[in-house]
Amino acid sequence: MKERWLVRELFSLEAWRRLALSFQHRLLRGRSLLGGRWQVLILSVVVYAFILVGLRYFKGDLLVLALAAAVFLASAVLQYPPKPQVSAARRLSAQRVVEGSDIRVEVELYNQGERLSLVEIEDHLSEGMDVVDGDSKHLLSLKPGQGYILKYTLRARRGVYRFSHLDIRAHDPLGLISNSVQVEAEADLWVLPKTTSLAGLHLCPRQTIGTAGYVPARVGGPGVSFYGVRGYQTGDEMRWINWKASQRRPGEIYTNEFEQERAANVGIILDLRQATHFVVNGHSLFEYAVTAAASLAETLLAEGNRVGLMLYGQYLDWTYPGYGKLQRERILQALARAHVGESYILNHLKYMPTRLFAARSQLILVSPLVKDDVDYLVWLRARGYAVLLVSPNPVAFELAAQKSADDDLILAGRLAHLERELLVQKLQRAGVQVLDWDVRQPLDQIIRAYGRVLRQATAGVWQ
Amino acid sequence: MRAALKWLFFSLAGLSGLLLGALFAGHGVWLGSIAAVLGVALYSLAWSLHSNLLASVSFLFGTGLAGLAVWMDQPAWLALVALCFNLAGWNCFTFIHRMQKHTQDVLEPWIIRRYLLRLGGLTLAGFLMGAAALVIRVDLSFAGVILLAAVVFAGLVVGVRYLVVGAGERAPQGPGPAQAEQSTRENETARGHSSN
Repeated sequence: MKERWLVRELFSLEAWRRLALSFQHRLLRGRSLLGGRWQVLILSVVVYAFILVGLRYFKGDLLVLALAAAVFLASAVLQYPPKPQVSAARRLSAQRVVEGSDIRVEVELYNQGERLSLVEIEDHLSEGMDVVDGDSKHLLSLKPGQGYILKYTLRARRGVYRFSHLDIRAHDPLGLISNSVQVEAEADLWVLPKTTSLAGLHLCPRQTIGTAGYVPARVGGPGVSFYGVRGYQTGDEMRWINWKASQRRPGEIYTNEFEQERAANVGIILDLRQATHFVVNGHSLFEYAVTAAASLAETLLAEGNRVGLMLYGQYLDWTYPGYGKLQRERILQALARAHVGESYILNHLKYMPTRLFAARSQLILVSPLVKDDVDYLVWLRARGYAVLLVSPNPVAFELAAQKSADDDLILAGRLAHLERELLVQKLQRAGVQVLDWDVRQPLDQIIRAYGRVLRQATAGVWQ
Repeated sequence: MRAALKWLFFSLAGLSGLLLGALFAGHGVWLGSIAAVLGVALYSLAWSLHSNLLASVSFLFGTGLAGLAVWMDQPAWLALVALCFNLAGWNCFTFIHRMQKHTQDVLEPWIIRRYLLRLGGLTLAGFLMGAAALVIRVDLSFAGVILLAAVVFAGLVVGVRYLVVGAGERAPQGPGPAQAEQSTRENETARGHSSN
């Protein structure tokens, strides 16, 4: 029976075709041609070489050497590892975490097949994930029906990750040959951008909405800041009466009026265009922009504003404006997915669908700023939008990354700074608030420092 | 345990090199001795670079030297011992290399002990079979030799093919799992239609 099988296997064209297809399949999948079988191939070459040379030149002693190597080959044939039949279930300590947090991964494995005397288990990690504790690759032995829990802790960069499968390779006891399978163990992980509280952010849109908030509404009513004086009305509190004004006009009583503070419609636009993407020594300026957008969204939503987010660049992603924690989650998830890229359609801001934003609302553009954008921002301002540009400074970012600065570099840096300063001044003259952010300093400190300047600019716009 | 494996690997590689060196030196082929030392040095380099490829090159180099020694009519049993050490050393290296990829310490000592026992047993079996072949002389007719050679050759071809393709494994007929899933769905749909 076995002899017949041997003859059939040797002369079967189908068998050789299967072998060729196996190689082709491995090549197409970008895997090693021989997988875990390279040792066997080397041994085979040795055995064949000794036999052929020994036979050709009548050297019987070479056949003896072939015999010793053939024993190892025979061992691999006799102890061929079984195909692993292992089930896997994955558990994550959290499915959504903030960037920089640790995630505990546990994969519960259960051997449903034969004994695996030496089995290698490797969990596939996406790019951007780093194991900080434990190991995602384990080497062990599994009896039939035995379970094992693969545990490790990882840290991931901002993004959306999908754990798909584990590679399980069973080896023969000497590790000469392996038999591998992929076992599915799926899970999703959201790594949201870090946020910081941005106290002192001063917005001044022309239009506010009815609900209470922190944005001066330019409407008299209950509030804190003095707004004007009007005639006394029944129900006004005595302490609001402006006695000095009332004395000037005998017979009439005047009351102080305060400025109402309301919530505002805010549209945050994050620039994803390739032209604004700067990477120096592996650090991307875009990550700072994402952090800024996330912090702005969180702060503004916490103050009761209605906030929407537009990702503009390689693609257009619009998170419809809303309030509260659910909206915060939507925005952070959109930011977790954000990535820069090239687009021939959305390569200029002028193609931005501004109708999505409420008329005369507050727009916050987070972008390093390129020369072509200036006119468009001025145009937005002319349309009645209050525009705040939060601009991570690419010139300072690049210069800070240079280890040694020669005269040419210093001169080039100064020229680039001057050019950028001119752009900023042009925008400021048009009433666009500009927050020029050197990313070496935290954004909240910059906002506090610029708070006074921003308030002055606001006052200028109102007049 | 890992340290013990490391010393075992270096001992095996060193002994193999020493035997080969002695084989060549005994007959005044100093170049062969230098080559044997170079083989050991290659193993050491493979160890420091954690390179399986380099270790395989060292193994092939050592094996080639053993073959060369036999070709030059040096004592075959010494070359056989050197080859056995070389085989065991190379296998030991790949096992350690595989272990080093895994930083966790769940590999029970009994797995290593079992591995060492099997490696020792197999190396000994290889040596004994080789030694037996050196000692025992069998007279065969020409037809018998041809038949034996054919059986050996066919056995090797099938064995190697079996090892490379795998037991009972079929090469995938489709380009990938997604298509396989789709084709399964189509088959099920077709079966549903036919039953209707």
